[in-house]
Amino acid sequence: MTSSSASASEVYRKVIRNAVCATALEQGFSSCDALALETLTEVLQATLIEICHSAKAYAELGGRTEASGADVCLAIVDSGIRMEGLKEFIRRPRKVTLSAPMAQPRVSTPRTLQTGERKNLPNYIPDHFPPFPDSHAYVHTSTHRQPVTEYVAIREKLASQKRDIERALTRFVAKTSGTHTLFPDNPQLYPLIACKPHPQPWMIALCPKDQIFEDEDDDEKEEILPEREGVPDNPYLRPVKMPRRRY
Amino acid sequence: MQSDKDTDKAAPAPLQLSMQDLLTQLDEYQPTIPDAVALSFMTCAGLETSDPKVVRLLSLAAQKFIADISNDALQHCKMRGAGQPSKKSPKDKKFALTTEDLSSALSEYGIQVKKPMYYN
Repeated sequence: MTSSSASASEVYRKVIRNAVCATALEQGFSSCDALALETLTEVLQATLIEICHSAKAYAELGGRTEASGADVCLAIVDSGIRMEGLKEFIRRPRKVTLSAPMAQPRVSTPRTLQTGERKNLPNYIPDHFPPFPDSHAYVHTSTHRQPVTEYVAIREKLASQKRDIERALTRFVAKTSGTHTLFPDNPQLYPLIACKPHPQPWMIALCPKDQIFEDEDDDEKEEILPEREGVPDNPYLRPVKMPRRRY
Repeated sequence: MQSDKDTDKAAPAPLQLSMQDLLTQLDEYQPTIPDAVALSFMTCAGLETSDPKVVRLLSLAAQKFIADISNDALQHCKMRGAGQPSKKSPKDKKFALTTEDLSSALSEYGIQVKKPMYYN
């Protein structure tokens, strides 16, 4: 709001400056100082507003809200502008007219999503008030379905998910590796993952695979050692070896 | 000729009559300051009117004031002999509106303009 009004006043100021330029041109000037132009612009703006203030005071003195021509005339005379020359000024020979400033193109606001129905204003609200917004702006609506908290349903869902995952995994493995068919007539009916027979199946059980203590210890030692020294093994940084003396 | 007759009539006529005359002339007058701009300044000052003639009268008076000032400045400029001869015809002189002339013209209207010291 502030920026638009500021830009509007700038535009009006520009038009006023153009009017000053046109007036100076009419009088016979061909060029103008920037400072002089700005001063005249300020004078013109101040004169306009001053006459307006004065005319308003006269109108209010006469008990009117709207200013009439007589009020403005009195205000003009009051501000010291000679009324006699005004008629000649209208019919001056070299007259420059300025075009009115163009209306600023209105920035179209994108249409908001229309949801629900708009209610009409009730009787006790005057017509100049803005209409009601979408009903969803003030009506309570639940946006989500309530989650299922029943135990049986959750267990059924979990079971079905687990079954789906197992079936998908089985199919995947059956496609990528060997299968064992339960029904020799139709191998595609219910494929099982083929079991890989081991020559000594009991060996796997005897060999402890999960607990590898030695390797971990070695790793720890290796990790700690360089930290203690602080510097990597560099032959140029080793302590000096003095050659043996030979007598 | 027409204008001479009108001025002869208007000069001795009372203010009411001349004002009526003026307002009728304002109907066909195209003001230099656009009506919309003058109207916005009026709104700014809190003055309301439904008569477009009032708006025009206002802008005309303000412009007349500026024209008088610039005319005085032109006379000052001519008196100084500061005009630049134009290239096409050396007799016609080009005049530039300077702050010096303007300040002396404005001082006659009771407006004191001083050039800032730092402004060249």
